[in-house]
Amino acid sequence: MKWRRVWSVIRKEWWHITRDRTSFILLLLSPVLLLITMGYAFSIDITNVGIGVMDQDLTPLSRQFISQLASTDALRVEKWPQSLDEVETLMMRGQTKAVVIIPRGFETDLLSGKTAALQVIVDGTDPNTAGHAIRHISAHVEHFTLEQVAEQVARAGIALKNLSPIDLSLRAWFNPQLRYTVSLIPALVGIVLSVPAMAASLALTREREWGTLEGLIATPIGRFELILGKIVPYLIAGFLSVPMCVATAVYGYKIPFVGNLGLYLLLSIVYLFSTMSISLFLSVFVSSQQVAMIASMLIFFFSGFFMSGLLIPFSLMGPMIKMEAFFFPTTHFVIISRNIFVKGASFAEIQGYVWAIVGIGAIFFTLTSLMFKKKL
Amino acid sequence: MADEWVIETEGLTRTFKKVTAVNNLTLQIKRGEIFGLVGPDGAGKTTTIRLLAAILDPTGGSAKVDGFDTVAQPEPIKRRIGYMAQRFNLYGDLSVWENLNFFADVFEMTGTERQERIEMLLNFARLTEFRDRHAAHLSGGMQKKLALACTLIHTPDIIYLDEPTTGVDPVSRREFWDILTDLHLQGITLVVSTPYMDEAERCSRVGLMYQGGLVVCDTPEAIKAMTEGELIALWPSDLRRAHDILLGTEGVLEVQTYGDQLRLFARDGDDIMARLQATLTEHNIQLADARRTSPRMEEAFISLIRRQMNEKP
Repeated sequence: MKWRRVWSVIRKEWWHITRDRTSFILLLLSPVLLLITMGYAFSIDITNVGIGVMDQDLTPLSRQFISQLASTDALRVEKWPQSLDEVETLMMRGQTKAVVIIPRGFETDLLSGKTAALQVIVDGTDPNTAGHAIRHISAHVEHFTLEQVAEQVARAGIALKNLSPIDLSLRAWFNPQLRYTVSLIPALVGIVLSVPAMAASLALTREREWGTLEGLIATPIGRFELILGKIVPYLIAGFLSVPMCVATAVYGYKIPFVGNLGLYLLLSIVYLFSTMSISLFLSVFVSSQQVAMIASMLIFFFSGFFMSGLLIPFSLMGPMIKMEAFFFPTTHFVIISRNIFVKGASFAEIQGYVWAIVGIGAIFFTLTSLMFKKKL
Repeated sequence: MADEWVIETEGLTRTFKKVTAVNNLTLQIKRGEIFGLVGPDGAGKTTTIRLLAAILDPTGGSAKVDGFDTVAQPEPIKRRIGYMAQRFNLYGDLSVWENLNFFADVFEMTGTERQERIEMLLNFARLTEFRDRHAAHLSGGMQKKLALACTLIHTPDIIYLDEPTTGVDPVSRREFWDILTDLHLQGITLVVSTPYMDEAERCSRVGLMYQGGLVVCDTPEAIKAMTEGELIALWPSDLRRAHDILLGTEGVLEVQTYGDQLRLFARDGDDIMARLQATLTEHNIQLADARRTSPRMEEAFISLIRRQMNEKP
């Protein structure tokens, strides 16, 4: 192991990366650009969903319930269908995503201590919005029964029988408003930081395409020296994107950065090393830059979106997928990113994930230097 | 004799999926000679050089370079050789100076020795004034010279050059060969593959490759002497018809076209010279000139390949 050679390869590789200005700028900016575009595409903090209400009860209590529904900016009561036919027309035309039907006898039932019926019809073709509407409507229902009804019942002097005596208080820690972006953006940062790794997959294939690898393997250069020299410049370039991504999250998406920034930056290097080791490993077996690029894109985007727990909760995955997901550093870094970003986790609290990333990186880096043969 | 033969191969064979690029090649190269590997495209020249550079493993047989086996001990070989591939294999986005320095680092050159060597090679390759130019912006000939300079950075004992002058203008070609002759005079062993016959004539010994095997291996003079019959150069008015007519003439062994002339090998030169005029006039072909000449590598090469093709169709 001659450090002079490693340094020489690093410097040469750095020149390759930076002398092509356009690709270098693209390399630096692509994580941020992806973060911005995907952040918008995925941020489904839906507000102001227009719903309809069909009030068949027409009592003070039903009107109170309706004003309760409209009391936050989550829902907006804007349609007042009078019949089920009208409800159907509204839904068919997509003019409303949900309709709440308050049947006749709503007030009477509630005040007499019976269970009152309430029907909610949602447009199942748009599950995101429908789910949002359902969540908010049920929250309102809960709130309404607990407070309004209790008051009404008390005023009427009827003993509380059916109502729960427990004062349920729900609080979401770290993200009191349960904003989806608060969990999404830090996770996306982890995924977009695998973009520099895709570029690293070009490090060996480029030389193979240029024909320079043939000359290089005829010299005494060590495989480990070569691989190490190849990965470092990409680590540096990738690392330059990290502060930009964090800044975009904090200032662009207003995600508070609670944790230790130094720790976050340090771990991002470990993460970059791990992902880049995988793409270098890939490039040992691939002969053209296009194939290397497409293969690493498939690996990193696929694992990033579908296996990291970003879109599909980890608990819903089958055992096989879980196993596979375990071997992708992105899975672990998404958790690290969320925990440091949002919860302010310390190293001790996330070290399990850190060691997993370190282990994956070490395995692939070693494999790469062993599998790379100085032969044609 | 271990010291005399710096490169020795024994039944060296390399088979790719369907083709056998190098077939049972047994070859010895002397220390300090310029060894020319000539042969048509696809004869196996590049594969042979790659096998000798220990960057490709043979599928059969073995090769020893400076006493080291190319399969078992590739690294000591790589310290001793310089390899210049057929394709331009320097970094186009690095300057002349940076390319040289990169290879100096790879070969662990340090201190004043390194600086002197780089300056010397720049001068030697006549690239001193282009030191800051990116390699991609050099002319073809300059790129070849830079590649050679990078190959020579660590003062190798043996240099492999795979078609170093292909795609280079004649002036640069000559200049390049003058540099190779210099190296030869310094005692370096050179293995050069080339499709050019005039370059083959400048080698100490020439190995003629055809279909992965060695057809002949000897000095250029000896190879030229292997041609059968006597050579006559003639300038007829209708080249193609004259070719066909003469090929069917009694006593003519072989006819080759060469620019505006025909070159024929005759069993008896005087006999053919005497009959030539009459034979051609009979077919209304004028003969501007005809003279006896000695065969060059080109004729010898074509003749030997043809003989080889006829022996194993």
